[in-house]
Amino acid sequence: MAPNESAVAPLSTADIDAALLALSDVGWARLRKIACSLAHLYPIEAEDLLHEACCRALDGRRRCPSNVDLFRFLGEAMRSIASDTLKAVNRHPELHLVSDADGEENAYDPPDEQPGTEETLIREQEAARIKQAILNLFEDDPVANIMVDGIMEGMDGEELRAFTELDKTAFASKRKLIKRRIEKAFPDGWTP
Amino acid sequence: MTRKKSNDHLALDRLAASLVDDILNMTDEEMLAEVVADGEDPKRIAQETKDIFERAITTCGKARLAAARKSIRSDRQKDSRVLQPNPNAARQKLEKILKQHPETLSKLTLAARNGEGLSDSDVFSMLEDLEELGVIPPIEKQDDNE
Repeated sequence: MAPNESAVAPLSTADIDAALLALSDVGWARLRKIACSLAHLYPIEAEDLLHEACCRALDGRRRCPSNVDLFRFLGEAMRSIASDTLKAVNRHPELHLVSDADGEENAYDPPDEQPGTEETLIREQEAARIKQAILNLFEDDPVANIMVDGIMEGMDGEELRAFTELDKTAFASKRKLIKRRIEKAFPDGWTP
Repeated sequence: MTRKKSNDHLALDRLAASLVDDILNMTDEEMLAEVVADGEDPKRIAQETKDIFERAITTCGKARLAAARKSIRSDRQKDSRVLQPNPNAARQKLEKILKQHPETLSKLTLAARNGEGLSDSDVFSMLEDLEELGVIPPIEKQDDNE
């Protein structure tokens, strides 16, 4: 929670429940769109993402300050959950049968509780792979490529527009193109 | 355990935040147009998403129920530990013990032997003394209430 949000009373579970149940079809479609969009970037399904975000909002694990738009709150909750799944990639590896010294008997090799160096490396490689796959989508469009790269470097808004040297209309259009191309490239979400 | 995100992970997070922002900034008309352009039915999409939310309500309800059950179990266990022994049962128990152990009875004062003038507290105290002396096994306070 941001420091300036701390003094604002959070919405109660009943408030969130009521607000969501009162959503229009477009509202639900917007939430679904956010979930799908994030599922294109992280190894999680849109449905799971939405379900988990709703659960956290309803059980109080995540609290929505009353001055924050509910869509923005749920969008940020989903983004945070999605990002954590990348951190947790390979956090729960399967148990493997390993042979002992004489090779006759097998034993289970339990995974470490904490991510080790190897796991951290795998996780970082996965993030690098996804990032590169996204950038590769725009190999034929240098401006979009620069724009995506800029966003990934933390640029946004006017700074990013100036960087791409596009006027406002062309810039808005390019942003849409980027979003749509990512969606089309991974229609079923990101699959490692 | 918190680990620092790699630069690539942070890069993805920034792109994700930007995409989410774009969706949040779309007008309702733009959103509807995009759903239709994807060849999807807005009503069906809305219903499917609402279903996910309703499943989340069920999931949370079950979790709350499980937590409540756990809390009740915990309270019951706590209550059973603080139950006070029943004074009448304790008095009957003392009487029975003293009958079974006449040598102990002979050491008591006349009043105590007759069970006269003993307060509930005296009875409990005597039972505890007898327990400490090993005359009787440890007192089961719960049994006294049954």
